[in-house]
Amino acid sequence: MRKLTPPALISTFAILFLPTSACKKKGEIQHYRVAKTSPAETPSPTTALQPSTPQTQTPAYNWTLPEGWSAQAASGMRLATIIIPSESGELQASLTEFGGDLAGNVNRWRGQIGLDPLPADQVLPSLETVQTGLGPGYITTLIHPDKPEQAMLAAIIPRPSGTSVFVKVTAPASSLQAIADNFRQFTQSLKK
Amino acid sequence: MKSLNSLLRPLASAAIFYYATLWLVALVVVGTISQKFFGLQASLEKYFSAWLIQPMEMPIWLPSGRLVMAIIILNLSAKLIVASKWKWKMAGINATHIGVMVLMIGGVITAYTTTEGNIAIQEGKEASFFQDFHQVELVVIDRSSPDHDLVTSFSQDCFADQQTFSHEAIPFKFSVKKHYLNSQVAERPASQITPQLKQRAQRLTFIEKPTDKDDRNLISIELEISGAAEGENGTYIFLNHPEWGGTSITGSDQKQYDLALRFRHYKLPFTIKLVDFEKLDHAGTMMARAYSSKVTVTEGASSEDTKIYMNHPLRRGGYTLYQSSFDQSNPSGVETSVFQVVYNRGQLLPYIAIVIILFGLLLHVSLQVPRLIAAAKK
Repeated sequence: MRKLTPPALISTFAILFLPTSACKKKGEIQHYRVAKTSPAETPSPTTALQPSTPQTQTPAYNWTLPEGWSAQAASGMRLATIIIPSESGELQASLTEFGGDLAGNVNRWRGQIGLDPLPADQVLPSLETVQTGLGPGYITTLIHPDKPEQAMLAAIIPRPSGTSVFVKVTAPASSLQAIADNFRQFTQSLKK
Repeated sequence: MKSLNSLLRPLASAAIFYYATLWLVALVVVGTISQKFFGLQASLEKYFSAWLIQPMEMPIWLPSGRLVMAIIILNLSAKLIVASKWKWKMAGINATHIGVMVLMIGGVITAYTTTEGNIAIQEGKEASFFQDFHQVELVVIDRSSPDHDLVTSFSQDCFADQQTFSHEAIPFKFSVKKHYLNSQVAERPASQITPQLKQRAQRLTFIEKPTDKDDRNLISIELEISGAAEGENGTYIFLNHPEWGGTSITGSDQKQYDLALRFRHYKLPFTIKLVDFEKLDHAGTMMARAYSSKVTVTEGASSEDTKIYMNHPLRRGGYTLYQSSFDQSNPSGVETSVFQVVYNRGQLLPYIAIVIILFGLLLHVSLQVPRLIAAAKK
């Protein structure tokens, strides 16, 4: 009779290891304690943005593009991506629809470029009001004085359903100033 | 033992190793080309991690990387058990075979235990978790305690259609209705809206999409949840996207729970604190010449200061942390350093295997030299 040699033991280990390891990887459930986090870190509907993204395969909204601008089809969370030519290269504006209140969204954007949040009653006066095909909308240009290369031009159009349509583009402040008129024209053209 | 011998002997054939290795080479070529068209992760899973592949959706199944590796392991094992001659003059060959076996075992351990992800830490902050690049998890967070949060997480492997899962620490029971590896959010047709659908599921649904070749997938899940407070049991939808956020549900125990789908979190056995991030640019440009992170690693009562930079990762407890990226966009000047984290229990085995193979080949040559000299003299 053949004796079990060390290589045979290694081989046996290898053969046995394969299925047992596979089982361990399946469906892990963990329960643990962590230091207190704010709900904002794991957003909940009451505290964070509530996307409601009515994103259909045929666009839910129509618009007129300024000359030279083009639109890419809906993808992921976006209703469309608008491609804007500019001197500093191609810019991209996202067209989305989410929930959340006006002040919350504006202050979230301010936070993204490093600006302090505004008190809720000061948010509306800081916005430019425009009339769009979807009703009244608001445009804001956010520029951090120390980081003008990461500015934001955004429009919010509240909808009767409680959601808002957003158009947002992030780029250097100089590029945003150059496209501001066309951006306003595009926002005004948005309609059902 | 005799029957084992007769069973294993056909498996020990050198032809199996030969053809399996040829097939493996073919998989490597096809898998590498396919990355360009289907993305790295999808190709890795299809050609190397899966047991079988179905080429071009045809009704035939061919062995994929994992099955071929298993065949090679079986073949080498059978060879070592029943077909190797354990004589001194064969010691080098046998050692080389053992080295290849160790290499294969390393591959198996790596395939089943490797976890990869990343961790982003702001200067002055610390972290003891990292998050997966691809896998997601459903988390249920109980924030009722003033001192801490209780987290229950269910990994993506639980999400097979119609599978149910639960945990004793929470009142909910989950049943998977649909799980999408990539999806798009769409308006739910009015004809499909029922009182069973809760919160966002009332208005929205998901449309399945093919996986993205750049691995930018929106993973989503539709779950039937029971064990909630009266009127809250029903169908909920979750999407892994930072702007989607979570869902708040009251349990049958009247406690409020936050539920979310997020990239899977793994606990590190130590805490890492970013003391300082430093980036050196090429003169007159914003292009990084080198960047490094000074960190303090704390494990239990012990604490150690170290620096992580290119080609100088932090290795600790089977985890390797590589300096991978950074973020200097915060106007306040506080920088963020990003580390890639790899956990691999089998990371030493390839080195051990190569040493054994080298030793085996050298031994074999040494043993053959006297015979070759004698043969040359004749």
